[in-house]
Amino acid sequence: MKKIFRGLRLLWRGIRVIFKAAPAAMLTVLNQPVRAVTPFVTIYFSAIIFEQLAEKAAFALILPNILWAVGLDAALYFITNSFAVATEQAWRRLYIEEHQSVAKALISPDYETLEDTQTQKKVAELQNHWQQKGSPLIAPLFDLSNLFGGIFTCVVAVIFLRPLFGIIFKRTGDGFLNSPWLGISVCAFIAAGVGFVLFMSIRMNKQWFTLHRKYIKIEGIFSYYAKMLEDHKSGKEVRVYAQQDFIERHATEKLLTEGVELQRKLGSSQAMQSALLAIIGAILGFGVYLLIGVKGLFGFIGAGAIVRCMGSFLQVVNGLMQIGSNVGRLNAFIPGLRYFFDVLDLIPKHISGKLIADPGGAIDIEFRDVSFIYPGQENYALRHVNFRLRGGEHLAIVGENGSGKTTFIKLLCRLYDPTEGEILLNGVNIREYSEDEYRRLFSVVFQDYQLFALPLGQNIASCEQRPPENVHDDDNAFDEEKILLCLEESGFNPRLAKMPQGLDTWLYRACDKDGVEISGGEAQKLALARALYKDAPVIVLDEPTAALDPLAEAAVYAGFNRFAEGKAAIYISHRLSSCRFCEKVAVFEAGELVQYGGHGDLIADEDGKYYELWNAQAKYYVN
Amino acid sequence: MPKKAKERTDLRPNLRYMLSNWREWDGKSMWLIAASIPAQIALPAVTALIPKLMLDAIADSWAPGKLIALVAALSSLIAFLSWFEPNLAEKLRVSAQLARMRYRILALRKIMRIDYETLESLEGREKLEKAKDFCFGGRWAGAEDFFDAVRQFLSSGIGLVTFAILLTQLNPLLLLIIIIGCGVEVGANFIGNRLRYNMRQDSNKAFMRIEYMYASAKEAEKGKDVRLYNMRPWFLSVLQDAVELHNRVLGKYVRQSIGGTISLRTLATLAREAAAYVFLIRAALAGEITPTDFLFFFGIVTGFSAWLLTVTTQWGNIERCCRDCQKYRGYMDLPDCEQGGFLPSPAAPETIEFRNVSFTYKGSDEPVLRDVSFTIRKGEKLAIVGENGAGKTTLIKLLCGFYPPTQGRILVNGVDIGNYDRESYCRLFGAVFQDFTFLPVTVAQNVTIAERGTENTARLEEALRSAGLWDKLLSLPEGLESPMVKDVWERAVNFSGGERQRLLLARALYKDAPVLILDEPTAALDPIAENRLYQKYSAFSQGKTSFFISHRIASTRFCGRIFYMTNTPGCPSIAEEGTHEELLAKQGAYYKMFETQSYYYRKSTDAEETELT
Repeated sequence: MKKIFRGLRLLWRGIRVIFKAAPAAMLTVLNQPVRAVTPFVTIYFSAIIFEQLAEKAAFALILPNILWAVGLDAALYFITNSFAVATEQAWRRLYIEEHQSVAKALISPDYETLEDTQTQKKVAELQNHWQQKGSPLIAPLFDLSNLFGGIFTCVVAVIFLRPLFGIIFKRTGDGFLNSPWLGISVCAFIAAGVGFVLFMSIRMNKQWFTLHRKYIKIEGIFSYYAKMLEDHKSGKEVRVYAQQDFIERHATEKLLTEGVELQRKLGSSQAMQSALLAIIGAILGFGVYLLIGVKGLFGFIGAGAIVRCMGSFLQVVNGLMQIGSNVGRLNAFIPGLRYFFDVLDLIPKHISGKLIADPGGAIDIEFRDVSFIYPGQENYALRHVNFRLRGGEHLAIVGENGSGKTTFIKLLCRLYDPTEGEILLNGVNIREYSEDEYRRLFSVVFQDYQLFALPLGQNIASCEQRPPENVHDDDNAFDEEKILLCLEESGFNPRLAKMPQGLDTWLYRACDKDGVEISGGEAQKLALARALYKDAPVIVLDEPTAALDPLAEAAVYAGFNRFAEGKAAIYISHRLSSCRFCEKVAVFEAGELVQYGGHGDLIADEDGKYYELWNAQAKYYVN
Repeated sequence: MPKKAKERTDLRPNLRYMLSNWREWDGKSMWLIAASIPAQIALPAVTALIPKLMLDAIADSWAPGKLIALVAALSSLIAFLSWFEPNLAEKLRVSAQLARMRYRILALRKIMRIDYETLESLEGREKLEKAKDFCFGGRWAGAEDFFDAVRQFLSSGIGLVTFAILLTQLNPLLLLIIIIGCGVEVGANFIGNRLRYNMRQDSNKAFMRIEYMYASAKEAEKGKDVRLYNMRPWFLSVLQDAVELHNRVLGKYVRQSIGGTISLRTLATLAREAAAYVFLIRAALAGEITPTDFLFFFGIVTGFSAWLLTVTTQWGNIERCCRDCQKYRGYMDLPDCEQGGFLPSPAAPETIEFRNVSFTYKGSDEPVLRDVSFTIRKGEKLAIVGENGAGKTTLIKLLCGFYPPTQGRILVNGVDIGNYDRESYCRLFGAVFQDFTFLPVTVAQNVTIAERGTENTARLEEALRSAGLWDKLLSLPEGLESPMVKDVWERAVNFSGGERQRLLLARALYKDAPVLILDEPTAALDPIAENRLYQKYSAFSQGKTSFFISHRIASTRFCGRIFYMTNTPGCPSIAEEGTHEELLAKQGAYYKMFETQSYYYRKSTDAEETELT
């Protein structure tokens, strides 16, 4: 019972979303009565005309009926088809709406909520649903309206069959064929048959879903390989390590044995369902034709009524088939809606404060005994970190892989909140600040910086807040001069000169077929330009030179001093040479800040971690 | 051989291709079509016939027993027909789905076997993208839809002819009017399809963007930058723009469809029906047909129109399948990786020689490597350093035989590598490339590329130990049997960037090939891990010819020979070569680069901050 209520609530919420996003989608439901009525126009009028023909009526008398029949049919035809076009497009709209609102729901909360495994699992579930079953909002609309349509058809048909009901339960003469028992037993026979078949149909549907889930799993493995191989980058390894046969075996063996077997079973299951429906048809057909025939034979119903009844009976079969193929999935839309609303209902983990940070003001950031454990993990990623960064200071962070450098930055930018301890900006806990406002203080280039497959200029200026009313201005709404300046600073200009449409050139080819591919080094320069454009008082560079040759690296070093001038700056690198142009060095080891100070002081401590790190690298450069 | 892309698709070869595959994979299912056609045609005919038969029987006052027998016979016939046809259709659907799967498998096999140069080229990638339409979409993909299209086309075609014969007997003029009516409807449908096609084209662009924005929103990596750069307003406005564009296109399509296509089709239906009524009623009134015949023929007229529409739509579908198939074959006809020559490659190359090798990517006119010549002897340790874009990785790809040189020759033991059998030639190399993929199998299998039980466990352990990953793997609950790739296995292990690089190294070491190639293996390693790798390097490259590409010049210390490559515009090549000491003494470009990287390491602690330019 509770389950049903939950289902209904979901449904209601879904319908509200549909009404808001694409009310035309509701025509799907409205279209069903129109569709259901259509065949009865022909049934009704052809019966009348038949009667008139039998009476040899004059053509002029028949003509109005022809006009009615043709006119009504054409009108209904027009309505159904217009509705169909409109609803089909409304469905596409809904599908878009779903993606848009999910994108909104994911872009809005804090990073910790987005990155959370629970969130990602919810998104993956929804994604799976989209791929395998299509839109969660459309599904209930589609299934329910089909069911509704089937029922509606049956109801209309039963109305048309009424003359039959008038007589079948009356004693019309002697013998079984004239007793009400004929009608009763035929009806009982039909009811039992239909009940049995519906029951089977529901069960088979369940079985079908189980099989289908199994198949999807097997196909998923194959699809992964397919996707992997489509990316040409995997081609080198496949060839050098002669992986062809191994991959083919692992990708297809199961699919070709178990998968094929499952497909055949799925097919038989479907075929069985259609067989069951055909049996319903046969049972009904036998019963109804029998009644019509017998009663007609004895003269209890007229020829016109017989024509109507026969036509209507066929519609009952159609209606029942429609019901039968939908009733098994009655609750199939619930999971989809649940996945969808689960994502929309994400609860942000961070509570954003109200204070506004002033990017032009003084910067004094302090970590006070900060410890951090990644969600779902057991070990501390950072432990008791105490640290202070003031405006204008340049800091290098070094340490082994996994020592907590990047985690430190993530806490600094409030991508995560500390598990213990607090981080203060100018003496105030950063939680008191509005998250967006607080982040205006930082220009960060992470190791795994991300560019968007959108125009180049937009990528650089994406931090620009355009007032909502300007949203529809063309793409040049950005400060072009400033973008060009930043691109020059980051060293991207030579490449820009080769871009076919300058700043309006689309990057990559995901969204635009004429997009431009750029190399890793070039992308890094764009990421840097984006950071420069933001022009925040704190600059953070995380491994900016990993992919660069020593000369390009030297250029970045040289540039760093220039564009970090007067700002606080943090530089993370495995190339310890970077420690030499920062006044302060922070050394992390196993989540702890073990050393902090100038290069000279740290190197003097021969037992320190810094000494070890430095020498591991420097010995190759010092003759 | 491949001609320039033709706009028109030749139907016949594609039909032949799809049909012959069909026969080969599941010839039996062709009989399903043959069997289903009579049923498909008979169903509407019988349906139209029933009222006539019943009414005639009643009018003739049959005995109840005889009537019941007729009813039983007719309803079982209908039941049989309405079971038989969908049942066969379902069986055929399975065949179709399996065929699509087989086409996908063939494509997969092809991807792994065409030569790397084509695979990587823009042309190759575009061809693959197009080929995917045929077999990678859902059930509307040509490979699958073809089966049903053929079935429906044949059955409705035969149904059309049958019904036409029935109608001609009645009145050829009526047939003509109906055909004209249907012709108008088909024309309207055609226009409708064009509209739809245009709408798809226009909305697809917007749709791609919406999907992309959605995909970006759910990615944690992108989410980080979105938040750090306060991109939300921008992001939402880009999304909103795309959605509005999309909805505009849809709105226009709906208006055009209802105003044009649907109105036209309604008129056609109206005219057709009116004609049928008038003709049949006049005939009945004139006594040419009985009133029950009127019912029967009216059913036939309706059925005939339905057949005609199906024939035309399904023909359109078959054409579409052929077009998709053409694209698919465009990919499948790409030549396989050349077998190369017949010479088995040597167990270990004594010499590797590049003789005046130049290379230019297809479709580009700037060489990425120019006039490179060198000879390496067995066991030599070679370091390749130099500027970004100087062709270091290209040199390796040429050596592995991924591309044939545009000019010059590559010789192993004095023989052009084109003369070696490709498969055995590949066995010479154990390589770690910069970009990499892992397979959704166990960690051990990712290293060994061998089925469980066929791997050399001792060598596996040694490789993992050398790569510094053994202890970490043992600490995992499932050890070496831990699955990889989270997309496929939920309990897959998550390795960090450094660990992945080590795993790749282990794979190269396990292969134990005579030539070891490492392309930037230290980029993600910290100084201590880097140092450890350098120190182990001599041990695990013992006896092998090895190539070490790196931006960290320290790596050259362990290599007997260094190539310094420069990215001189128009002439990227090896600028200097020799040992570290020789190159330093030369005071050339290598010296400059070494000094640049050394600068901060050497700068005395209390020296003044001097700016570097």
